[in-house]
Amino acid sequence: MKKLYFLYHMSWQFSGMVWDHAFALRSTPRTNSVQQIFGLERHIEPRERFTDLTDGFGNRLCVGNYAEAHDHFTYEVCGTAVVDTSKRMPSPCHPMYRYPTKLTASEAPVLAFLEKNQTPEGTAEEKARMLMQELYSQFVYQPGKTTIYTTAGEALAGGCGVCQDYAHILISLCRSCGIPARYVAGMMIGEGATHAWVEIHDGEKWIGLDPTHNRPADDGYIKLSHGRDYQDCILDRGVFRGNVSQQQIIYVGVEEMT
Amino acid sequence: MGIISIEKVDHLFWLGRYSERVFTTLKMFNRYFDLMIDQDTEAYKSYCQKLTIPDIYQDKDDFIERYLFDGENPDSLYANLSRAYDNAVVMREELSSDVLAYIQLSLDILAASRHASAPLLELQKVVDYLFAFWGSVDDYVDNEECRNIMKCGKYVERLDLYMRFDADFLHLEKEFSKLMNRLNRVHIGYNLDKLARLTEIINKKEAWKEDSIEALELLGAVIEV
Amino acid sequence: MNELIDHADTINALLARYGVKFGIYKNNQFHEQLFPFDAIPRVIPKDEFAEMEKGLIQRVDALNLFLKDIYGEKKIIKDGVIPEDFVFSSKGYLPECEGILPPKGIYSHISGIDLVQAEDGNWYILEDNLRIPSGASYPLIARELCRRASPRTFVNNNVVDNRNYAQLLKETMEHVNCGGIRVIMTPGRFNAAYFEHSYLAERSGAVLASCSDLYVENNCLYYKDYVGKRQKVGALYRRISDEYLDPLTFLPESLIGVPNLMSAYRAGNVAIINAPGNGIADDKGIYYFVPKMIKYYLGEEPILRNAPTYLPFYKADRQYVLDHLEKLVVKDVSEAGGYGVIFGRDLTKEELANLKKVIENESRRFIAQEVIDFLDLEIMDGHDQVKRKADLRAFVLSGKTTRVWASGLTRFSRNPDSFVVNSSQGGGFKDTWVLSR
Repeated sequence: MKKLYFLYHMSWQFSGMVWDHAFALRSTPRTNSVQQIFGLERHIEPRERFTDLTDGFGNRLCVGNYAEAHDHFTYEVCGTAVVDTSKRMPSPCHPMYRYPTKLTASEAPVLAFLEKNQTPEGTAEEKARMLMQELYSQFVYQPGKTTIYTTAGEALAGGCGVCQDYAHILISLCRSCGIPARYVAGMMIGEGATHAWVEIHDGEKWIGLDPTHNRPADDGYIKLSHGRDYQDCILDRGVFRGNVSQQQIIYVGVEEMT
Repeated sequence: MGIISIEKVDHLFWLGRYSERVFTTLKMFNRYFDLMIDQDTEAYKSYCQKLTIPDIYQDKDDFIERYLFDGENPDSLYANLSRAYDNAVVMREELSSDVLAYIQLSLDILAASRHASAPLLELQKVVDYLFAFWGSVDDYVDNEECRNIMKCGKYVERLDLYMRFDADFLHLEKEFSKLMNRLNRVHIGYNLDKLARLTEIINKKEAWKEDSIEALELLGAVIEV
Repeated sequence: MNELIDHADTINALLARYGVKFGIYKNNQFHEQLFPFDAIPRVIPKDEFAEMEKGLIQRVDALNLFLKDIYGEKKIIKDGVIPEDFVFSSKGYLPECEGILPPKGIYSHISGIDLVQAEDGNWYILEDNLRIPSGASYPLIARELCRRASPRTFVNNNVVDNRNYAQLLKETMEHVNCGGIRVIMTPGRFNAAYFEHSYLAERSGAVLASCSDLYVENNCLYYKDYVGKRQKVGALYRRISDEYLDPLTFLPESLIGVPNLMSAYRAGNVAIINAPGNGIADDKGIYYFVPKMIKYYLGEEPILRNAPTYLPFYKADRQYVLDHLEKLVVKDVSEAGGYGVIFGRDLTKEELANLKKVIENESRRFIAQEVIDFLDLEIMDGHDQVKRKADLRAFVLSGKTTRVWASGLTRFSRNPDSFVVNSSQGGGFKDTWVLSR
């Protein structure tokens, strides 16, 4: 069990005025059997005007809009998370996590990888961990080589990528051999950016695996959203009118409280 | 319907302008067509000048053909009526199918009269349908706001053309007061300063012509849709 | 009826007068085309329609229950009636719609069910259209104009008046209205069915809006006017497909759509007609299972039959399809509008072999059907009466009760060799008469 203080800060700076700005944010953690959230505080600029919903995947979705002109948008959420993966409760697996999406399709490189790295008989978790191990040893962490549109197969063929690609590949590998898997976007102990990892379903419950670090997602991880792939889990979506350039700044800080 | 969106205001205003443009220029065209029969075969040159449209025509026959019917020519009557149609077809539910039909009919007739031996006879039908269009607007368009916005467009265009073709000042004054009458009843944006100056020029009566170029410019810029 | 044929030219002139057209893109350019009308109506006797009506109501009720089940409890899958592959790997299934119960639990408010009549007189369901089925406006206005052009025809023939469609539509929208005005949302005049959007708005008294006239605030949908006033929208009949509906939920690059519309819908503040996510129920693969659905949800025997259909997904079916491909029609489940339909008999040996390979490799992608011996309908070709393939799109409206519009869109192929009747592929239409005695 870990008690974590977390801060998620996101801002868009626009080079001029924008208006009719609608947003949908998935960056508010919610309480589940593994993580309990306390003392949640949220601030949105230019105005504290939003509503909360639960999306189709079970994530907390914060939506709102500003019709009036503004040149920046800031969203900040902080609080305490008590994370204890040993408390994970059984939960059913939605069948959608068994089937490929465009980003996690069973493309040729994925199938070839499975062919080459056959897993011995075992539980879903054992198999997934073995695939994670193989992926970790054969794939290189390197930013700038992939984009948000890169599929698991493309990333795997390219041999390098970022946490999102690790997650997509592991999901694709797992689903291709019958293990339900989903994408998780969230935060982990430390400072900097958000992170992405994977949850697999072992027939009874979801288990978190972090292929980027080749380890289970332990008590130092706070989930923000989950879905079939990156596309379902995008933390901050927005559309607006105005011919401007924009800069997004994200700061994430998670530290253990003693 | 109770409320009209910004986009619809734009369509209504320009439907008013383009349908009026075709209607009134057709009347002017008749005059010049007559002149060109046996008096001044190059009369179309001054016609183009008055409308400040480029004279791209080789001779009077080319003018009659391409000014009236050539859809590729952006200044042709056909192109202008097509624009009226474009603005009307997206307003069916406000105008009603019966009203919209008159724009459709006038466009179809104009297209069909391209090869007529006496085009003026056919063009009379275009005028007839446009008359019917405005008549049916008064009867069938329930929303007063809609009618007023269209008529703002109509009178702006008519004034513009009357100014260009040196209409009698009494006509000008009458159309201007019609425009003011409609403008006072709608909530579309207009430029107060420009309107004040335009009023000033019209109030000079016959002497308005001294400022005719400015008046035309003001007229085009008064209503902001 | 001969009188009606004599007046065909008048009727077509009237159709042109009222701009009864559909849009089509040719060489990347937008054109408006008149929808060719054939004056000889399709006539459905009273008893035959009564039977068809029962069958359609049954089918659409089952499809609505299926949608409610799939986006809710998923009992039909848990009970093993439909393999989950067919649902969750389908493009039509939208997980974004999970957990949303639409107002009054209705998903498909306006269903367009395509049927054909076979030589033996039996009607077969060809496909269900539960997303945005179009076409009702054409027979609606055609009837109006036929009555004007040839009033005597209707003195003698006892035809049920079909001009209540706009009223049915209005009632259907009002039944699920969450408080506010009724809006028909169109992608704009360059949409193939723009005539229909504008005509139905006019006739049903709904506001016709483009996406930019609408916005969401505080989880409510509003229509805004030019002076800044706004009105809450309670029922939205959208004529835009799901993926473009809300750029914050679906395709982010969509330039149309209303941001956060799905949130307003999820919050229960607006009814969307038809519900997003309906594509799962009119998937060509799911079609096979509709008779099973009827038994499962309603405990009834299906009244209307499917065309005999095989799913290569099942081994036995696959073998049959591969063995009889030359007499079957194969449909790609991901295509619509008459595309992706292949008749085995039109293929060369080589093409057949290739198709077999594709079917073996991607068995989930196709369904195969026996070619139905259509009962051809008479049409006028110049001054001659000739027979052509035709289908019927019946419109079923689900509101307080489920009702079948006593008419429908009869489309025919003008090409004597073609089975494809879609307007986008050059077909024409007829009025559809249901007799009252």
